[in-house]
Amino acid sequence: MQKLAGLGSTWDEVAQTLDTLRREALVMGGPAAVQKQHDRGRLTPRERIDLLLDQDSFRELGELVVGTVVVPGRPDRPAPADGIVVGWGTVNGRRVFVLADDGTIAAGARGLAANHKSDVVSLLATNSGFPLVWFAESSVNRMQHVMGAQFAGELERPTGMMLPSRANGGRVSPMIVAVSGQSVGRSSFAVTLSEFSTMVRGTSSMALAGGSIVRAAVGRAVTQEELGGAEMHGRITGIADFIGDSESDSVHAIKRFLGLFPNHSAEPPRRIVSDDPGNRLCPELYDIVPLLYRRAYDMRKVVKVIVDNGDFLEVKRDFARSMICAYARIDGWAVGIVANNPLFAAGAVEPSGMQKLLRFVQVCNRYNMPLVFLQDQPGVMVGPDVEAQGVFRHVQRLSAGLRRLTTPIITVLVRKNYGFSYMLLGSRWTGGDSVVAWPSASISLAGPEAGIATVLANEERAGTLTDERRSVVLQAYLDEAQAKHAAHDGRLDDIIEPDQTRRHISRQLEVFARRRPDTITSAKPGIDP
Amino acid sequence: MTVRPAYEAISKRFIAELIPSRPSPTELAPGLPFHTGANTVVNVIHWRGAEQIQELERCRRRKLPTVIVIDPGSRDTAWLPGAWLESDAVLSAPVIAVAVGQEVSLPLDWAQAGPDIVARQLGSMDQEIDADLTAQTPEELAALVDRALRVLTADPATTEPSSGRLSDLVPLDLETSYSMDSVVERLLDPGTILELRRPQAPELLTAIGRCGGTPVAVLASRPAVERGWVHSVSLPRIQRFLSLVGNLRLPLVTVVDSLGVEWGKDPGALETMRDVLLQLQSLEVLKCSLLAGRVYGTAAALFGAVSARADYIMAWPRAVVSRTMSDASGENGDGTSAFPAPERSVMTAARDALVIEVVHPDETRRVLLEIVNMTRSPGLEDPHD
Repeated sequence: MQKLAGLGSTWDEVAQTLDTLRREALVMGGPAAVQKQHDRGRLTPRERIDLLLDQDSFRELGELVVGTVVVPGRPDRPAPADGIVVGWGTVNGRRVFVLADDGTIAAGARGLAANHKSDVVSLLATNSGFPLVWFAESSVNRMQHVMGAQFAGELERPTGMMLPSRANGGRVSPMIVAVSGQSVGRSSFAVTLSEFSTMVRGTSSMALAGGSIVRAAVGRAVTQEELGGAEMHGRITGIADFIGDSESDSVHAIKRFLGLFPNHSAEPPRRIVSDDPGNRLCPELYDIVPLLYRRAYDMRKVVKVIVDNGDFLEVKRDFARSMICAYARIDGWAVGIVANNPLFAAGAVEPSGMQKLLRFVQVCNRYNMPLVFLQDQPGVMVGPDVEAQGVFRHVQRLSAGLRRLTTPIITVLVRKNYGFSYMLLGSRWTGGDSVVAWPSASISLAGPEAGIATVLANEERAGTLTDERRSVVLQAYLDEAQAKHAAHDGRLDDIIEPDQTRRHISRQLEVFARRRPDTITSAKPGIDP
Repeated sequence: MTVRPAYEAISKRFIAELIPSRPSPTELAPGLPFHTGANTVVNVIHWRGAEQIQELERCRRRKLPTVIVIDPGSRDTAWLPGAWLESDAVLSAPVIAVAVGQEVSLPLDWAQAGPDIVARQLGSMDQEIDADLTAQTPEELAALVDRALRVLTADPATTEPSSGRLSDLVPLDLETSYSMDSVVERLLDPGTILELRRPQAPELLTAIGRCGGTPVAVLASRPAVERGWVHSVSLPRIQRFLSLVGNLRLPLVTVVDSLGVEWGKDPGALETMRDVLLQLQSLEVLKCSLLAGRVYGTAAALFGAVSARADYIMAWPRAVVSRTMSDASGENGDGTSAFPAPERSVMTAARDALVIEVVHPDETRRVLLEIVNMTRSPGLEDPHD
């Protein structure tokens, strides 16, 4: 009679053995490795999962997986769970799938079994339509599996390194990547395809290759922070969406993101009952926004006033600061807010801002989240610096992307709205469903100073331009640019008082946000990496 | 024309059992739905001829289960598959064709396409069309159709757990026989299992049932029948079953304990196998595979353990996976195995994550409940409340 060798001779004994084997997976890299992880200011994968998920909701998969760490010249070491913990649970009662790289084992480098586990959970999340959260702390696969020609097989896996299926317009679920430690290779690529990503100051980094490979390849010694720390990706590259001061911060942001988004792209975001009434007036806006168009102010204060309870989740806060992109709720409706910030470069639209904006609206569009544009910008930034960045290309890319949006767009013109960027940022030309303006708003090809510089250039060169003449022309331009002229001609929907802004947006959302996803084209554009 | 009144009586008996409040087929108001004995709302059409195509279309657009009653007096039954194929309406509710009375002529291609379930009264001369459900009398037939409707029209309230431990049914060793039917009954909600095409391919169990209130399809091998060998002539039964699974988008649960596929002398068997595997791969439903015992050779692919893009593969600790059965038969001659036992054990596969979970038999139903109900999100209200 065949027995279950090593497991027991009765089903009860087998049950006990399975329990023992499952508990062995919980040790991760061992107490010393766990302590080292903590000394680095990092949590273990199981601690991260506990932080994210509702208590006792985690259901782990692949508990019996054991890999091996092979380093030439050293004894092989077992790798419990093969370096990744996977499963599902709930966040505020809603199902979420999780992957958490185990930095306590071989610096998070994965074995082949870890890849299988990851594939199972990723596909299960996609096929059943639920978000996936990945705590990334991984240095790709273990070298024993990818050095040599065997690497060719790596790209044949169902999810592969690039997760290509996520770059198309098919039904997908949000993928959130929390870069929780040193992350190179696959997890870094995944960040560029994710809907939301976070990093932690001082402890997380993200790069194509680690410091040792950089040193070997280009002969330069760099720290992980220099290579791809939170400062780099939060401020310079803009790849990370949120930079937290701690892992708790990061997880809190992820929970806020999940709370705003639907489970997948074929359903609308959930509206909640808000204790902040949609018809609330906002008289504070009169004090926040100066009438004089050349005076700066912080548009974030405007956003804070019009959203529910002043709460919004800003993405890429320190990158392209003249462009604000934030998720929030207005009268319980989840919305994506795009706003120029006159505090930086007078709100001018720069190539980096266009990049930030395009990705943001693509994410909103994919998940049927209405967009609210608050315009106050002097136009696209000009000058040799932006020309060197290929500003034309950025404008066209943004233009093409915006014109493919199908989600509702509600636009409020606050003050100056000049140039081609006026057309790009929520106008009717890019599909604005409702476009209104404050009385202070002005619309023109260019600001009045730019107009004067052009039409009076000869007089200025000849030295015959007087202050009086300049004032007369300036006033003429200011008068002609008033938004009320556009409203009279029907090129705007209405002129509203600033304190009516929230009320107006709420009413528009009642109409447009109820547009069912199945009435919108299913061929949604993908998200640019 | 004179044959009709004689068979009307038979149809009347069937409909009277299925819809107690509407005893007469002539009283069926075209296009109105009815309540069965289990209070399931269905469309019922007593098929007279092609002139009822529009009525059929109205029923389909209503997206309710539809029962089409066919008797020897029915004309133009060949139109029915065509109606399905030509219609633009999305098939999202089961269609059950019921042949009552003897000598009922049914389209031959219904074996491959057409109604989701074909039920027939035995004794018909037209035996070339296989039926999914059979019974001797119209009353028994109505009871079977009613059971099928209860399974397929999901009622989340029926989540009553099964009684009894699976470990009492399943032996630890691979040689002792056990009843796969009893195992599947314990995995599903009590009293919901309904086997389709029972007289054919006795080594296979193709059934529908509910798991935690969710309608599911079950494809299993019967290890008590020739140690689970699947005969290649049985493959069409699987094809037909997988068509039902795909049409109705039922989660598919496969349970395998089989020595493999016996190819026989049929030259077309390989092609049929290829078609079955492609069909299995292309099914866009949740697929959960349980390796229950021996999983040898092509049986591994046939029951979704490999290359079928199963969403979830779990195994009992007693399971073994191998390419061939030569090691099990001890063909080495000296009693040793061609492959060392640990490499065949499913524990090895679990260590490498090729099997995502090894479950104790008593845990199986709990895991299955989680998987088949995966698409239901807890706590999700209507987003436009």
